[in-house]
Amino acid sequence: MKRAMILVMMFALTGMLLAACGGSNGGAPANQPPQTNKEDGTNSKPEGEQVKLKFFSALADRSNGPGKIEQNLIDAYMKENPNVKIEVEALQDEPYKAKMKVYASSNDIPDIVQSWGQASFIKPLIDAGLMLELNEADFASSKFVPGATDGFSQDGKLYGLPRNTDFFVIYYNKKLFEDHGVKVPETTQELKAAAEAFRKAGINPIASNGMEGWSLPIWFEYVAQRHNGDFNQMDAVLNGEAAFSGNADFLAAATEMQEFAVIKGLADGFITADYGTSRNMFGQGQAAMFLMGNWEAGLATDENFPEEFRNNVGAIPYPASDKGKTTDVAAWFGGGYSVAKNSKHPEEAVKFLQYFFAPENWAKQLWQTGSGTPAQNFDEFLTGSESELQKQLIGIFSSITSSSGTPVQDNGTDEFKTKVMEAHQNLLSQLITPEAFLKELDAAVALIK
Amino acid sequence: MHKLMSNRWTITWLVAPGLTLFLFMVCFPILMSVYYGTTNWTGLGEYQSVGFANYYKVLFEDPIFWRSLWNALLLLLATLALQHPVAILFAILITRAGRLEKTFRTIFFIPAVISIVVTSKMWVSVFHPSYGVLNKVLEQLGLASLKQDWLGDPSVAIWSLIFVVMWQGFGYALLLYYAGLQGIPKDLYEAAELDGAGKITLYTRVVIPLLSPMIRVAVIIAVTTCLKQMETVFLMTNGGPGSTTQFLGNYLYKTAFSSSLYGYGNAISVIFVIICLIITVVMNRALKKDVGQF
Repeated sequence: MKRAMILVMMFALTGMLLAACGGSNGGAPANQPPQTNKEDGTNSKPEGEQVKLKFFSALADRSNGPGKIEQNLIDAYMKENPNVKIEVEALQDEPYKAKMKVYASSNDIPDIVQSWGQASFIKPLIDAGLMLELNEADFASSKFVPGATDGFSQDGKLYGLPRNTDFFVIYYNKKLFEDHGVKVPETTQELKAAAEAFRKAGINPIASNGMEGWSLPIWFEYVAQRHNGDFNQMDAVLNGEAAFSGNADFLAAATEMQEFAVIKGLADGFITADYGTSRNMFGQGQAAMFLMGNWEAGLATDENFPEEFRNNVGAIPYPASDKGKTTDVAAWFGGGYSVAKNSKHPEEAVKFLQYFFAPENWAKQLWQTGSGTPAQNFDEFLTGSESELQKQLIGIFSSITSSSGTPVQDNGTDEFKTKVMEAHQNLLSQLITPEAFLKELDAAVALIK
Repeated sequence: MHKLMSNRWTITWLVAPGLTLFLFMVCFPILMSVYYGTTNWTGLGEYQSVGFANYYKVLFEDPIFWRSLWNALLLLLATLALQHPVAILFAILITRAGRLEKTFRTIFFIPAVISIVVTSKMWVSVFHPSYGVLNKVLEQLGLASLKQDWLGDPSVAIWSLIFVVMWQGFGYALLLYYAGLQGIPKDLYEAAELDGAGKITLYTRVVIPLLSPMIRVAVIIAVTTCLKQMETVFLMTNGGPGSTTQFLGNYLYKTAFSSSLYGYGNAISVIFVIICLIITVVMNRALKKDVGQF
C-alpha cells in the first residue's frame, strides 16, 4: 500500500515537472525580455468583424511630443472606427530594436511597427520577407517630400513611410553667450574659440551623448564636409570607391575633432552621458551648446527647464569653413512605419496609416505642437505663431542646399554601426590617434563590402 | 522501504525530474550555444556554418575578450584582497558593538537591498566630474589636484567601477561572515581566554580558522559574481571609454544584441562557460580543507 502511494506520488510529481518543462520550451521563445507597456491582455474574443491591430512604437513617452500625437491619432481613429482596436506597445529606441529582433526571429511582428529607412534596420527585415509591400498611390494625398520614401524602398518597392525629416544643428544658450561675451560661431574656427572661451569661464562648452555614441559620427560627417566640401566623399568611401586612410581631408577632420577633446571642448563626463543626461545638462543651463537633431524643438517649451533657459535657447546651423557652407546640412529622413507581412488585417493596417498620414493629422499636429519636422509638405500649416526656436529650425531646413543623407553608421549592419561608433568614442577619449581612427573606420567599412 | 529505495527503477524515477530539468535548462541550451557558435547567424534569417572560426577569433584575435577577462580578474583580486578582509573585520566589530549591533548590521546591509540600477545611477552622479559630490568634496578639502573624470578617464574608470561593485557587494559579504561568527560556540572564546590567548591571538588562531567554511562559501560566491559582472558596468559605463571597463557579461551582450553577431556572441559565451568551469574546479581543489568538528 505504502509502495503504491509513493509510486503514484512520484508519477504525479514527474508529470508536473515535465509539464512545466514543456511549457517553458514550447511557449514564448527563450531570452524574451519581459513585456512592458502592454495593455491588459483581455482574452475575450471580439465579436462580429472586430479587428485588433498591434502597434509597436519607439516613442516611449506617450504624454509628450510626438508620442502624444501618435497616441492621440490612434485614440481618435478607434473612436471613428469602433470595430478597430489598436493595442500599443512602446519602448525606447534601443530596447525597441532589441525586442524587434525577438519578434522578427519568432516571425511574430506586430501589425504596424516603427521602422527606420536605413540599411541597418530595415534591410534585414525586407530581405527576410517580413515587411509588407505598400502601394505608393495609396498615400498620394499625404504629400511626402520628394525623396522621403527612398530609404524605405528596395528594388523599386515601397516598404515603409517616413514620419520625420531629421537634421543636425547646434542648439545654444543665448544668455550664456551674452554673459561671457562669446561670439555665436559662424565658422569652424569660431566654434573652437567659443569652446575654449567657455572652458576658460568654467562652463561646459558642448553637451553630447557620448555613451550612446550615435551622435558622434553625424558630427564627424559635418567636420569632414567642412574640410572636403562634399558630403558625397563619405558615401564614396562607404561604396568602396575610396578609403578614409590616406585622405588628407579626413585626417584633418579627425584631428580637428580630437582637438575638441584635447581642449575639453565637450562637456565634462560626455563619454558617460546618455541622451537624457546631456539634454538635461543643456536644459539646466550647465552647458552652452548641445549638438543634436531638430527633433528637440520642444526645448523651448519644456516645462521641466527654467523659464530663463526656454526664452534663451536658439539653434544655429553647423558653422561654415572655406569649403563647406552653413547650408550644407547633415539631414535625412528618420523614423517611420511599416506593416508586417504576416499581419492578419493588412488592409486595415494600411487604412490606419492612410488616416495617420493624412496631411491634417500627423504633419499638421507634429508641426503645430513644435514636436518635429514632418517628412510631408506642411507649408499650409505654418501658423506664424511658431516659437523663435522653431523659426530658426525651419530657416535652417528651408535653406538646405546639400544634405548628407542617412547617418554614416546606419549604412550597414549592426556590427558596422557598433564599430563606427566605438571608433568615434575611442578618438574622443584620446585612446587612439586620428590615423588609427581612420584605419578603424576603414576596417568597419570592410565589413559591409 | 529499504527494498523500495534500492530498486533501480525507483532511483531512476526519483532522479528523473531533476535530471530532466537540468538537461533541458542547462545542458541543452549550452549545446545549442556550441552549435550556434559555429555559425555566422545574425539573429535574423539564414545563416551558414563557419566551423570553428568564431572560437578561434575569440581566443586569438579578440583583444576586447581578453581585456574583459582581465578586468573580471582584477575585480576578483580586489574583492578578495580588500572587500573580504574588511568585511571580516567589520563583522567582528559588529558582534562586539553591544547595543548598536543591530543598527550597524542594518546600515551595512542597506546597499545590498537597494536596486542595482538605483545605486549605479547614484554613483554615476557622485562621480560626475563637474557636479559630482566626490569632486566637490575634494575641492572643499583643498585637494583639487586629486579631482578626476572618474568614469571618463580610461586609466581611472576601471578602478571607480571596481570600487562601486565592491561597495554594492559589501553588505552581503558582511552578512555571511556575521552569520558565520554567530555559529561559533561562545565556550570556545572562553576556553581560549582561559588558556591565556589575547584578543589578537583569539581571532587569528581560533575564530578566523573556524570561520573558514564560511570564507569558502563567500569566496565562491565572490568568484561567480565577479566573473558574471554585468549590471553595474552596463549601467555606469557600458564598457567605455573605449573598452577599458568592459566585462565578459556586458561584452557578450553587446556583441550579440547591439552588433547582432549572435554566432560570435554564442562562441564567447561557450568559452566563458569553459573558463568558469576551470576556475570552479581549481577553486574546489584549493579550498578542500576540513576544519573538523566543533
